Amino acid sequence: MWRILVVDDNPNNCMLLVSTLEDLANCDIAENGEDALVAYDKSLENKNPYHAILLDIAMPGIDGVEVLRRIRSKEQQNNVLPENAIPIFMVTAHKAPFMDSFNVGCDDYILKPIEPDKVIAKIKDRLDGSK
Amino acid sequence: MFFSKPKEEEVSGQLEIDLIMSMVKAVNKVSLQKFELSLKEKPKIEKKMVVQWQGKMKVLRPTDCVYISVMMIQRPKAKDNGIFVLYLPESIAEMIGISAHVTRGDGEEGLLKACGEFLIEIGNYFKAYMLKLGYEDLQFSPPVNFTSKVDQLFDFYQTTKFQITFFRDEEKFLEFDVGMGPIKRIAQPQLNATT
Repeated sequence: MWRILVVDDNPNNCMLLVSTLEDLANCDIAENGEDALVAYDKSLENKNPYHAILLDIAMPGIDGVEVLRRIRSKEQQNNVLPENAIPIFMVTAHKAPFMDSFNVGCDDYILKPIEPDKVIAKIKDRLDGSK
Repeated sequence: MFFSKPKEEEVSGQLEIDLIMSMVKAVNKVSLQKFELSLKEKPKIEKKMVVQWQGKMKVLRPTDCVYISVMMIQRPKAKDNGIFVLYLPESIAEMIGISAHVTRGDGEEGLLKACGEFLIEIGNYFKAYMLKLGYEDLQFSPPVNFTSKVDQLFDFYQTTKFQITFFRDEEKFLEFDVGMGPIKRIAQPQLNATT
């Protein structure tokens, strides 16, 4: 089973993603950007990193694109090679930040309403390929 | 007689994103397989206006690319049509030619054919990725290959496209135009009210 961090301020969306992924992954949930960064740091400290992050964009406080930026910046500081960077999937209702997110370093972009089969296909394709 | 201005019709946002992401994956895959090249630099993605002539897309080459291959895409069930335009710098086209065992004796035609086959390979991976995402009815036309000497018109009627530029060692490796939209009606002529 993979370990995936699901980040969304809407608990219903979190539960939908967790249930979509239940056969593939053990998911942790963060309800905002600050908690997501703490969970990400802790997973590295505990040497039990996540295999992927599903990240909402529009959240109060630190938004998803900023979380993405900070994680990529930390990876750069730690000399993580691009091919070893954690896969991050933006999951959002908004199409407009796609190019920003891509340029900051997201691996894929999934628009809400979520299509479970598509989410599974994208995650499997990315994570199977990284084995 | 006047022509009504074509109205922008869009495919779903997710399809647009999936087109781009699948294209990026397909180019990375083919580059690795064919040339053992890992394209580590992130491609640049820009949304651009389509240059239109008589309602069709006019393919104009970027100044640093010489060889061009074009494939039309169709999703008959969804009634979408689209286009891939591959722009290749001369050095990369030659590299493709060498990998396809094109010799000087084959002339420019041989090199153009190799570029078209390269686009088909990318198209096949692209199709496989799209199939995984549930886009089942994707069909491609055979490639049209030409050099920058002549501009060509294609039956792609959208007003915008995505331009994806891939780099290798900070230099352009290749460039793609990708676009898709509902199959449509060419602009209908409108009768002048005074006639």
